[in-house]
Amino acid sequence: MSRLTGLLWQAILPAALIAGYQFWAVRAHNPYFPPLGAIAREFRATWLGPGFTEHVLPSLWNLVRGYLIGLLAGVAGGVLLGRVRVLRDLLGPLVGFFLTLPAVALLPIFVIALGIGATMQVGVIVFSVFFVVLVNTTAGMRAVDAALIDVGRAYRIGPLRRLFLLLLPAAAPYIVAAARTALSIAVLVMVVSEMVGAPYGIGAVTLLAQQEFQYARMWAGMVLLALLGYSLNAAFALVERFTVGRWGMVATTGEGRS
Amino acid sequence: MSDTLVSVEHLTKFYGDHLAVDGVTFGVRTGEMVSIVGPSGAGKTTALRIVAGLLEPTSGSVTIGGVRVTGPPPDVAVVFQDYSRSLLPWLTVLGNVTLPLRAKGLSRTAARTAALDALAAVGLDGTARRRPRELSGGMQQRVAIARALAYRPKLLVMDEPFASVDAQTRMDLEDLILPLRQEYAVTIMLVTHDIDEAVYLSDRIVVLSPAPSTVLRVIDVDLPLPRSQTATKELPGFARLRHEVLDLVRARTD
Amino acid sequence: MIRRAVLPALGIAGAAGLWESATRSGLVAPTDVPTLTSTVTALGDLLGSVPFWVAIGDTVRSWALGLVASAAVAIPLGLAIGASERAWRFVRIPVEALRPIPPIVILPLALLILHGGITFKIMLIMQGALWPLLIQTSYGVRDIDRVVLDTARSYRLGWWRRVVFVRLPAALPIVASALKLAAASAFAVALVTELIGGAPGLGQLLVVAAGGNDLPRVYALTLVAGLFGLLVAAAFGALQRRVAQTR
Repeated sequence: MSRLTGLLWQAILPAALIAGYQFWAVRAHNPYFPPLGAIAREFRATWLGPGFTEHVLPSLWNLVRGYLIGLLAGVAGGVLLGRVRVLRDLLGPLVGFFLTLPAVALLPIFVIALGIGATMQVGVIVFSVFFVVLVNTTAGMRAVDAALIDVGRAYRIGPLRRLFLLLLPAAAPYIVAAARTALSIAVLVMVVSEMVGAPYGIGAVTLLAQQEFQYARMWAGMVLLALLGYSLNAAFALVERFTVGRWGMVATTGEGRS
Repeated sequence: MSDTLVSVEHLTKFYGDHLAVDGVTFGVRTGEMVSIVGPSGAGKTTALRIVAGLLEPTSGSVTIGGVRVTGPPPDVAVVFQDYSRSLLPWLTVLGNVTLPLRAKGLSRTAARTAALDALAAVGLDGTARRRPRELSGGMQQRVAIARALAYRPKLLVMDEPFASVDAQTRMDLEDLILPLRQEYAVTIMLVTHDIDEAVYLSDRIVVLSPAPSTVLRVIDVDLPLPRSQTATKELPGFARLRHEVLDLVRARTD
Repeated sequence: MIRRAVLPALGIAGAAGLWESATRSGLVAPTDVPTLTSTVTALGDLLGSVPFWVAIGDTVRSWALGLVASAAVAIPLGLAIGASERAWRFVRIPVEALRPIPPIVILPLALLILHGGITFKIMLIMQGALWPLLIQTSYGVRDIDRVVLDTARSYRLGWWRRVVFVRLPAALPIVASALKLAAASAFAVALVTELIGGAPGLGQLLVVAAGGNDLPRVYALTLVAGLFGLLVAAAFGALQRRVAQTR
């Protein structure tokens, strides 16, 4: 089977679903399920006009900030916990607790401490990303092949080179897998954090549209969020392919959370 | 030629209650190639790791060039058994060879030149930009050897370096090492379980007993240089030495 | 050996001490973070109150039903899809496309149609748990050693026996680890439906307590959520280890 026919074959189901929806929606006149045209018009009006700078960009900016801070802090903490056994023993139960505590459950606490706004939203995203990355980086550091450690020692590779050229790449399958999991969690947390009374953002607009019976706009929001989740995940698959994939390593899923 | 580079004295190593190495003493002279053989489970690799400074002995000492080994010494390079684990898959071939040189303080260009020379010496011209996993097993082990040679060590320590490649590649690698000894003026300590290999490559052979390991005998290999896979191995001297080592190794395992 | 037991306890004690002293000394304002002691008191009150246990029941019921429903659909379907080259090609892309869509996406619509009842919660949990489980199960089924499959073929085992006795056991470790992730995500989504959708449960109590500015109660409820998460992780971790052992 050629690549093209393979692609066509895979496109049948989604195309049929979308066509079926449109066929049904045009006839059903159900206000909850507007036809595609109406959703597309609303999508353009809501997200691609002034809404882009008012809602889409702030949402993404919070996501990017929170994600990157959480990721970097998580990797740094994971390196520390992976190398220092006393710290690992000391903080083990606490880290375990925060790993399994769903980040969304912390929203009330963050709202009380920081109020509704960007700081609170970024804070929750940081939290949701940090512990997944922390735990998996620790596991990755612990799993570095003893042979590589020997190479580092035998050739007297200094601490900085050892960390950046040896230990971190060796732990990369764990870190990359965690970063991918963390990204999808961060998207969820971003949206939820906007639904607890934020005046702007993709999540806020979408939930408000539902409450105001603007169903086409609600659908436009759902489509945008779905596209966002999908494309971020696809972008990450590329990152994976050009790092661990290229080195012939396989991303390892360790501990996860939501 | 006859001054001692490495001296191993009364080396003893316990792993918990298990006595792996029991008072091993031997020396390696400058420019010499010494093999350490023994049945599997003998403390060959343990002894080698102590010499390379990767492991602390329980008692006894190793001195290299008169300096007591307390950690990995600066003029020792190691070739590990498993090339697939000892090369860094995220670096290019060149990156793998230059990493220790850069860590040693060589400039980027100096490291690069030394690395390319060493790669050429092991017959790997033109592979500098490739990644280890794009190469065959034998070529990967050549990269590991180039990494060790480029480091310009006084002592090259090799732990079963040819155990993970096929028989043909193994002979090629053995014949690669012999001339490189002269070219890089390096003293070599080789751990192997292959008796033919030990006899073929070495100037002397240290035969260890099963654990707790002691030195059973140190055998001088008086075969003429240069050696060849066909001519040397057909010499009566080769067969005699092979016989002697094999008897020692087997008598103790039965 | 002692260190392994003492240090973790010391870590917990240290964190507790830090919390208590920071809030008592006024380093952290009592309007921001309650003291540990008042949180513990609030937790005690909660444990003795009926609405709390009703809420726990609501959360756990929707979590369990959502998870079971996801597994009941995803595992058999994943087996069938993974075992057939044609089915795999047909559904892989759409399912892979659905997987990264956060479950929160369908919340507005589901809320509209299902009015925040338990069906609504289960629907959302399933959007979070079903697709990863389905994908992982089919991957697990496909990941089987060629030789094992050829052996089964050469003994002329039928399709049904091949799936149940050869492919399913081979996929189990992956399924178990996917289940562990799904269990955690199902709990988080259950909380979301309660926090945002107003469905009854632990999340709703949390919203009410936060609305009343009852800080010790908010912290006590968050603590409960964390402990439940820990329990879920431990239980499914044990399951995962058990499955790994049988191999």
